[in-house]
Order: sequence, then structure tokens, then C-alpha cells
Amino acid sequence: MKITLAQQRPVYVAGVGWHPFQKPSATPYVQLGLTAVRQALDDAGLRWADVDSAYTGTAMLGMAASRPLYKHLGVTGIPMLQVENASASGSTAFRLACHDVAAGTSDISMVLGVDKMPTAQGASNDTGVPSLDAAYVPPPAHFALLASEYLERHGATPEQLAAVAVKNSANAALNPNAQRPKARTLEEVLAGPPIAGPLTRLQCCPIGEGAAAVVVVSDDAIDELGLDRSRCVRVLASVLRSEELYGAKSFDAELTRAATADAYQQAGMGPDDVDLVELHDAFSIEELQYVEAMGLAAEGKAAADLEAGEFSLGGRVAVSTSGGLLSSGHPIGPTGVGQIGEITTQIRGEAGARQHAGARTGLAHMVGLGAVCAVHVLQSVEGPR
Amino acid sequence: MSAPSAQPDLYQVDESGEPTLIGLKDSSGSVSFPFQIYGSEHNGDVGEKISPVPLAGTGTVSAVVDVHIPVDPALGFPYRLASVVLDEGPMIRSVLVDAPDVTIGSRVRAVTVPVTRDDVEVAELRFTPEEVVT
Repeated sequence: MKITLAQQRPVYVAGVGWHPFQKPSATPYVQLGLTAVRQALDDAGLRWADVDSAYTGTAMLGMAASRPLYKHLGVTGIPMLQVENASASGSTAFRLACHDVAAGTSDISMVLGVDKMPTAQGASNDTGVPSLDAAYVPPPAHFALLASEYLERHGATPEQLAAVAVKNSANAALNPNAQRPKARTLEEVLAGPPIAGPLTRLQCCPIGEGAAAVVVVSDDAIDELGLDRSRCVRVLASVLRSEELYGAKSFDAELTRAATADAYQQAGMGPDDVDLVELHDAFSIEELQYVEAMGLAAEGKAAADLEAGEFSLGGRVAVSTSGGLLSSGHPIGPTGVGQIGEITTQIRGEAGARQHAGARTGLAHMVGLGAVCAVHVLQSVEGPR
Repeated sequence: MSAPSAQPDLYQVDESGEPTLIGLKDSSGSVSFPFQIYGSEHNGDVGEKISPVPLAGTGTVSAVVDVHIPVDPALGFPYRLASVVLDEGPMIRSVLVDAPDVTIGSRVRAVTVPVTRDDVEVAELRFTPEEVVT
């Protein structure tokens, strides 16, 4: 049974604010948005720290507009969501915020509509705050620096780092949807060409195109439409967080740690209950960092655990049975949906040659520019192992 | 006399080419980089509660790599890139010069090098080992 907003708890508008509408100008979108948000907070007698979630309606800014704007109000780690729905972007953002509050997942939600004429670069590169390093730190260089730090701190080797790509390429070779469906040896991965620091080409994900889709249904839909319940997989937890301040630590890893902890709590489980993981391994170093942040390996021990086969098919917890972003590919929009599809296929026991035996509980993880992190926990309707 | 700063909003350059990075200090004393007027990431301070603060331009390398991707014809490749934790706290990324022996833990300091951008010579920020005088 569907329910309307009116059938949930009441919601109200408590504050309003604007930046005057105007002709195209040099004013950065961050300045436009902050002006309106601060005015609305003042109008409502609220502080930014009171706000539980933020929905940004925008059609023309490009991806990753939210946090580069809201962070100047003082970071709080709240979920942030950018909504694009053409001329109805702002209206749709408002609808989502209303449902969020009506459902009880937030008490106070900020809705901001902000737009400027399109620019060549994404919103996160167009905040109006100058950058010292934008020209010299392309994504592989950023992750190479994280790899440099990790190898030094934990005494891991470039070969152990490259082993991530070896494992994931073997999984991708069994995945008919993978962009790089070829198993690679350690020698092939290490042979280069070098990209940045210890990262070689096969330790950097390919960008391509593709599509992925999943259908989400309710208990009522299963019953009413007579769906096969045994092939349904329950979504136990859904978490979306944004970056906080972590000093010089890897922000993606710390954000992953916080988001995964929330997901475990929401699902009423811990890392020992996870049978398989799909994670954001755009670069090989990320897998090592994230399995530690998720509590699936002790701090500094991920490389050794991987070497011992604990993250392989049939291992303690299978990581990236699809081949991950490194080998299955990273077409951006479809990537996270594909993760949900892979975990569902595994939990159903329908993954064929790449089936991970005993897959009952899976965790999907994506980080995104800005930065944001989404974690979902899926489980067999028969429950955990 | 030095060329003008390539990014005057981020660092000023004196006549001898020495750069001064400009950070942001909020009412709680937290320092971030760069200075901007939007507000402090630490506590949301804005307006009179935030102010520009000159940074010493010295720090410690926490990561260093050679990058083999051509990103800038004036820079060429490979180039050496580092994460530098400034003495005031913020971590920044910078290209290194005259730094073949720099490793994690090395002390470095800010310098500038002359670079031609749009037919104009400007002084662009780099980091170099603390003891090297350029």
C-alpha cells in the first residue's frame, strides 16, 4: 500500500530566504546558495547545526554541487542530496525533504534551489574558492599519494597493492558485464605503464559507459503481485553521509568508516556478519583502505589478508566479486546500481562461476566527489548465515 | 625583482620571490587553507569572525610520488608531488622542486619558480627541502 505525505506526520515550512534573481554574473553559485540558506536559517531562528539533511535542486551546475557549498556553514556530516529534475528540480527537492521529515528520518531538512548557466567544469571545480593543486593533482595522483602514505605507515609493498588488481581482474574474467574481462598476473599489473607513484594503469579503473537497473519493491508488492519471495533480497540498511574534518587522514577512508558504522548499527549487525562486499575501488589503494575502515581487516593488515586469499571468492569475505570498479568498470551513474545487482545475484546464488559460497549478507559501498559516501546492506530473506 | 604571484588569492610573493601563503583563522583559533570569505569549515564562522592569517610556509611531507601524467606543458612529466602538512595544521598538495631525496617525514618549505602563463611571467608556488636555498 502506498501512502501519501498527508498520511504521515505533519510537516511545515519554518523559514524562507533568497539571493535575488539576476542576470548572469561572475558571482559563484556557492555565494548565491549560501546567501539564501543563511537567510532562511535566520528567518526560522535555526542554526545550521540543527539541520538533519539537505536537498539541493539544480539542473545546470553539474555533479557534486552540494558539499562544496554547505561546508562553509560548518561541517556536520549530514546527508546531502542533489536533485536534478529539469524545471521541477527545486520542487522535487522540496518534495523529497517533506517526505524525509514526514517519515521521521529527519526533523529539519534544508531545501535549496540554486543554478547558474552551465560551465565547462563540474560544480566542485567552480566554487569561487581558488585551488592550489587543481592542475597538478588529477585523481590518480591523489590516490597515489594515499598509497604512498599507506605503504610507508604499514610496511606494505607495491606488489601487495597490485594484488588488489590481480584478484579483481580474476573475478571480472567471470563476469559477462565487465569492461576488462581478462585475468591479469601480478607481473602484468606491475609492468605498467606507470601512472602515479606505485599505481600502474591496471590499478586505475577504466571510465566507460553502460547501464544497470534494480527494482525495489515492498512486502505488499510481493504479496499483491505474487512475486517470488525466495528471489527477493532485503535491504537492511541505507546510509548516506558527507565528509567531515579528519585532519591529514584520508577523507574517503574516514568517511567510509563513519558511514559503514552507521550501516552496521542500522542493520543490527557487525563486520563479522558480512559475506561479500562491493566497494569503490577506482584505484587499488582504496580496497586496502576501505576494508580496514569497514572493520573487515585490522588496521594495516588488509594487504596481508588479501594475500592470504581472505577477500577472494570462497574466502572469509569476498570483495568485489564483480571485478570491482578496477576491472568491471566505472561508468559513473550505473556503477552503484550495478553493485546492488551483483550482491543480489550473489545472495540469490545465481552468480555462476563467480558464485561466492554462502553469500547471505552483502554490503555495497560508493564514495563520490564532494565528498559523499553511500552504504547499503542487503541480506537474504532467509536471514544471515 | 620577482614576477608577481601566479595565484595572489592563495599566496603573496615578495621582491625576492619568497611566497607567503594566506590561511583562514576562525574565532576558535582553527586554521584552514586557503582564505575565503564563505565561512570556516571548522565551525561555520563568517564575516568578522574569520580573518586572513599569513602561514609560515613550512611543513612536513606525509606522502610523495612521481606523477607520469601530462597535466601542464610548462611543468612537463614526470613531476614530483607531495602531501605537505603545514606547521599550522592544514594539509596541502604541492609540486616539489630540487627534491630528489625527499621522503615521508622530510621538512620542506615554500618557494616560487618563474613560469610563463598567457605570455606573462608569474611566480608559481612549489615546495623544496627546507635546507635548500633557491
